[in-house]
Amino acid sequence: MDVTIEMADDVAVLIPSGNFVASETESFNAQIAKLVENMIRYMLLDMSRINFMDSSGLDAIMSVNKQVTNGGGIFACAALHDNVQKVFRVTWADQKIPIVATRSAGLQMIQELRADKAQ
Amino acid sequence: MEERILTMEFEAHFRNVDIARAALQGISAECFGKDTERAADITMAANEAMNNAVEHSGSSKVKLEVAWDEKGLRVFVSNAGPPFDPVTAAAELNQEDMLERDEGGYGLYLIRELVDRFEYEYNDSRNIWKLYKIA
Repeated sequence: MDVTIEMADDVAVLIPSGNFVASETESFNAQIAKLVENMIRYMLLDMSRINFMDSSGLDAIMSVNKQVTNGGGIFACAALHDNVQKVFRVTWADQKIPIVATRSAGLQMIQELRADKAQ
Repeated sequence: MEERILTMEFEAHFRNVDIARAALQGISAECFGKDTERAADITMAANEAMNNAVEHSGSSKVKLEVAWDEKGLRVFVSNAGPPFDPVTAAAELNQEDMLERDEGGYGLYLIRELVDRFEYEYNDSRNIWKLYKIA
């Protein structure tokens, strides 16, 4: 699975493509580990290029969320296809990770959450 | 429509699950219609059953049997690992468990929620997970 990483100010926008499944999570986790090592505290996962995600993919996302939030950062997911959104909904993961419709909405939400934290 | 059957046995690797899932996506699209929610549900549930066999059963091979007709689709996923009843394990999961979880355990819950019927049989030294989706 290819993961494109773009920086929007100090927010890392991760854009994986293909299927987010058990055979692919190792490479995703390795790339996330590098970002965490580099003290990237704000991450937005743009899922617009993910056509299929299984519970292993969800596990990987939950792990990123934990790493980022435990470090005082903010993590969110954006642009989920219907079948991917269903995995979040059925497992109640959408109650634990912020999910927004678009990448721009995600970036805006992260900035708003940062402002709230700073107060 | 006469019942049609596809059977495949593969070495227990996640890459092989990807191939088996691709076949199942084609079959479920034929049975329920391309890009329909029912097709996606049974594909996801079967994918989780195969993942579980690869990751947890200890069996070197996984067998997939798919049968479908106008009434619906059934998927049997079997392995030669020690007995494990996923139906009982899945029945014990509830919303609170899922909300408290950080990682792991989502697969069984997904299967339970996405299929119309979920059964288990241990027969001839094999675990057989039976997943049904009605048309």
